[in-house]
Amino acid sequence: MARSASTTFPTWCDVAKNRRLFAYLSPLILPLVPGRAGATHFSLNLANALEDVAGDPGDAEIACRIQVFVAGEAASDETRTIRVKAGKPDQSHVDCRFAPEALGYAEITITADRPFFRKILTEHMYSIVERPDGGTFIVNAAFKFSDPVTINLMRRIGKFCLVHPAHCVAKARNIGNSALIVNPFEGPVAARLATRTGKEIRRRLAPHQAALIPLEELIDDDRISCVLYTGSNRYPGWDVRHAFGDANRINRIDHLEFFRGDPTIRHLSTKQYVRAALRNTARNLGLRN
Amino acid sequence: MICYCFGISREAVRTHFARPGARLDDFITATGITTKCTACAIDLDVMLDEVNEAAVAGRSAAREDVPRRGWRTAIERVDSGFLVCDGSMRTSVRLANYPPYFENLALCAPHHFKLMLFDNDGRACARAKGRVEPGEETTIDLSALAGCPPQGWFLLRQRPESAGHYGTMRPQAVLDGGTWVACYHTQFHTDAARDGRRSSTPLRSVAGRTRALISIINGSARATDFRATLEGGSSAQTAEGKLLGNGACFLDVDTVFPKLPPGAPLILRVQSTQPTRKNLLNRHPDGSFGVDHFPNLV
Repeated sequence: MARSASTTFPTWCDVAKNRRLFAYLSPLILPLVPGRAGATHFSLNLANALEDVAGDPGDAEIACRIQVFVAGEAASDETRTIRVKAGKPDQSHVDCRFAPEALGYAEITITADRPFFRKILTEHMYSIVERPDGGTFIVNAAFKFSDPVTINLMRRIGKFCLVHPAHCVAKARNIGNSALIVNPFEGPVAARLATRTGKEIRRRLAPHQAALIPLEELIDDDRISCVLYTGSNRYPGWDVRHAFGDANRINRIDHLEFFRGDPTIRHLSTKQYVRAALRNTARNLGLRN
Repeated sequence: MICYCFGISREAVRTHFARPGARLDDFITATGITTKCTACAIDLDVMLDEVNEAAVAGRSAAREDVPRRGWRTAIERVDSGFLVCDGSMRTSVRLANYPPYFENLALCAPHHFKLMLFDNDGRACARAKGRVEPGEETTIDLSALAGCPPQGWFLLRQRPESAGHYGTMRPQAVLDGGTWVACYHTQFHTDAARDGRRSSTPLRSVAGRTRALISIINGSARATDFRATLEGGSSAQTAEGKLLGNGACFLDVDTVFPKLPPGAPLILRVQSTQPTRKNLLNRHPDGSFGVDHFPNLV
């Protein structure tokens, strides 16, 4: 697995001031539905994003590389150059429209010609899918690397695990549900979807492959069910709601949730403890939310 | 050892990245790490994070090593979300408490929860409570609770009863419209904001319509004024409104802003004098809905 050729691990410009700058942002993975299901519009508000991630108000040249993979193959590879002067980009947005022949994903990598970013994650990462009938909905992108939630999970639990507690398939009501899994890496990923009843689906994803896995074989009909997702490596995944038997009539795509490695117990100072107790009491009395 | 395929030790990773300006690509090219079975990719990510932390003066290499002193306290989670139970759809809240692979229940903690339902005028209308043990799940059909309003919002408090992990306990709200289902994960009620994060959402106008509804929940017991601003192209339109304390409303974007700029990306921003929670519902022409919270940042 190789990161983008221009990816640089942290370059510390001024350690004495406790300040690190990076020459790249973690690549974003954006799922792309087939064009017959809808066109995906991605819009990155560069001006806002730079306000959030730029480490200094100086000049830089930023490259935004947009790679599209469809059916496991590289479909396009485009790089747009943005010049930043005094912290202001020469174009406010990077806009793209995708309507691939088949299921796929876009990998969006942003690098700078010098250590310029004060953090490697940007939260400006959504797209809008426009259905053929004019309906629209938002889809969130995922980080390819360095997602703090994944790191937290691996550090504390040691196992990769995604979850969705509310999958639902109801044939008689024309309600379908699938999991969309993307392998953005150079090696294969063996994904496993399991329910507490012991049913499971195993799927091997080749490098750069996206797969839509119908859930009707995994979960009971017309019963809200929890599915856990594990695998030989981490991977981003989305919950896709659509008409039964027709994955091109999509009404909603949401990211799968992580098993959260956050502990349920923490240790508070006396001051924090008293404040928490007062807050809790106020909630119990209905004085605050 | 971090990579068994190529025999790369953790020390080799630390040595490489001890040099300022060290490149990850150079390390991958030189060693082949992460390029064969890929199983080490996650471990490398964790390691890089630790190396990163260690390189900055005054910060601990391992955040887990923070001394465990002070008052031992369970971390309560308070989430909120909108609800619709008006006959056109019903809302349920879903909780699941499972460990990875359904294997080690000791990783989970039993949680008890308290649920309060509010109507759009901010009146508390219904309550429910219960427990979710490790290895269990529950569905709370809000429409089945006595006093459930046709529209409003819910406040869900979850409190762990022992040491463990939050795990899979992030709630999902399920909207069931009979011939379609859509879900959204709830967010912390403290994510309510007057402006800034989670206060703007992108919209797209197709044939002059966004088909969007905006849910606004007043996260405060005090009344709030709010202003919705729709920006697109070179124009901006505004609409204003009020919410009672703990009140809520739905804004029909196409009604509030009947003249949408054609073909331009739209951004709807909601500002308020008290912290508010915002969600977006997308009505599709076939009657189904999409739903999401406002993005963290746009």
